[in-house]
Amino acid sequence: MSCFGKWRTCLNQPNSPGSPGRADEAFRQLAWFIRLRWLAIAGVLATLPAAWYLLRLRFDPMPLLAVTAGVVAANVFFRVRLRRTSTAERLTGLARTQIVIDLIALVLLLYFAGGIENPFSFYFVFHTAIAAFIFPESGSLVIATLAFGLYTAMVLLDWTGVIARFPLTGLYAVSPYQSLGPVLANIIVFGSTLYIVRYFTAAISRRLSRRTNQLAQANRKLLEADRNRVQSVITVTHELRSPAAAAASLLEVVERVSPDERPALIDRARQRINGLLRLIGDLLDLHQLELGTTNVETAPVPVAEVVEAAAAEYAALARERGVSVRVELPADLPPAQASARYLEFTVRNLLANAIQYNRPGGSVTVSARQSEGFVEVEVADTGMGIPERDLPHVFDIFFRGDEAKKTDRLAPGLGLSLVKRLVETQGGTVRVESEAGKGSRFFFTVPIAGKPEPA
Amino acid sequence: MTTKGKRILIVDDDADFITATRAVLAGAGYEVEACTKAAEASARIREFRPDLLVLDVMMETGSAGFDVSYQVRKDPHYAKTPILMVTAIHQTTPLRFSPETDGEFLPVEKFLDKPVPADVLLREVAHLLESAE
Repeated sequence: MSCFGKWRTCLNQPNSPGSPGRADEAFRQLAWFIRLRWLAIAGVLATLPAAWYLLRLRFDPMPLLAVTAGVVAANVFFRVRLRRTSTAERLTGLARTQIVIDLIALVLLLYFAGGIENPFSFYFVFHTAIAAFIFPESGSLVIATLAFGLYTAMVLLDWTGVIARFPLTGLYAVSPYQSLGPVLANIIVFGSTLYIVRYFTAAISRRLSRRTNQLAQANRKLLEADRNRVQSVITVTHELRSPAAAAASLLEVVERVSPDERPALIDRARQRINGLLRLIGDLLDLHQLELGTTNVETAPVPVAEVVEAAAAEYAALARERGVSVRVELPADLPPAQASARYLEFTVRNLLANAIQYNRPGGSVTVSARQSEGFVEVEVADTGMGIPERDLPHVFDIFFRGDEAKKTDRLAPGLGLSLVKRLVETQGGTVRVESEAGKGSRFFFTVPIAGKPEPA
Repeated sequence: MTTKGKRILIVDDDADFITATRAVLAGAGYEVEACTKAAEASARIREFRPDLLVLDVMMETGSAGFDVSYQVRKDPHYAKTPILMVTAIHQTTPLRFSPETDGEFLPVEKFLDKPVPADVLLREVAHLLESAE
């Protein structure tokens, strides 16, 4: 009946319900049970002569051999059934049947060799542990209770003489069956051992499967991120290719047009190439920020001056679009601990978007306030707004809403993802509030100068 | 050549491609019109009655050019109008479209990658117009 080793090997085969390959896992577990049962049968057949000749114990070997033959038959049956079972549910059912059969076989072996006198009753711990490992929920409680019930019934019936006794002579000077005390103590310790083993094993099993699920989930996320990265490389390639192809097309036709048309074509080609260079520069910045290879050097920067300069710079674009720009800054706005270059890029980018994606007659308001160690700048527009489904993605690299694409198809959608990284590199945060059709409000924060650097 | 004076409509949201393509085709004697929005393409086709379409793939959406080509084929008047599709995409649209494998299932006569050299563009346009007659 040697099932020793089951428990340890079990720990190396964590059971993870719901994970792909669950049926495979169950199949492997059952095949392993069947191999272990052959070992147990060999153990019984080795124990009988050892007990008889070495320990000089006396018992009736025939019923023990009969039970062992029954286990052999059951194991052959299980082997055949296993080959024909494939679904995880059926395999779990088969596992349950096997554990119950094993319990019954063990009770019978004990009964035919002394009952309570037989120390192999310890082996019920293995069944309980394995059941708790495979069925960490209520299934193992049923198995532990069944084991306890079968054993208790066997001991009580044996003790009261309701069933015939098969004594094991030579082990104890006085059989524990002689008085009530040892019988009750045996049953109580036996039962509590099973339930405690069940509790600990189930707890370990649950923890292991939780860990396994977490790892599987982390792995899925990594795979997805990897796919997104590949998709992003393809998108980047396309975004780089478009302006290069446009410039090449323009230069291709320079010699085919009249001399006075040439400068315009060459100028357009130059602009597309400059756009391409800007895009390459932004991409480089973005990826360096992501790698964390650029160490940002911050210094006190007057936020108000940066905002005013950006507003002046975009006044012409705003006029062209029929958009009015208001700057509302408190007089006592403190300077920010920031990179002037990053801050300028951020303000200009948000302002340009607010003008670009606005409606004629609309307005843009840039305001700022001081809050909890940070300067918060807000850029509010009365433009097309951002649909709710797009809001979580506006800061994603190359993300562009459908409405934004209609307004300006050629912008690659890098600006806001750069803004987010630049702001975060300086220790601030960005967020957006928007209602489709009514306008958007972008907020970002930068630490106030003169405070200790935020961790 | 019998193809000169034929009408060609360019549908592309990149103004610079329109400028370049128009210069090549108009210089070769074709009558050229352009339209920058796929959504307006159908109306412009009815108005201008082109003999050939030069169509970009990615416009308002990643596959707007395909939508236009299907619309054109559904209209009995233009079902046989040759379509030359020019694209900078090559497998990067949301459709995972590839000219090599999907070409047969799309109702267009020819695919060319941007930028299209002027002589290739003229050769393909002339060839398509001749075979359409």
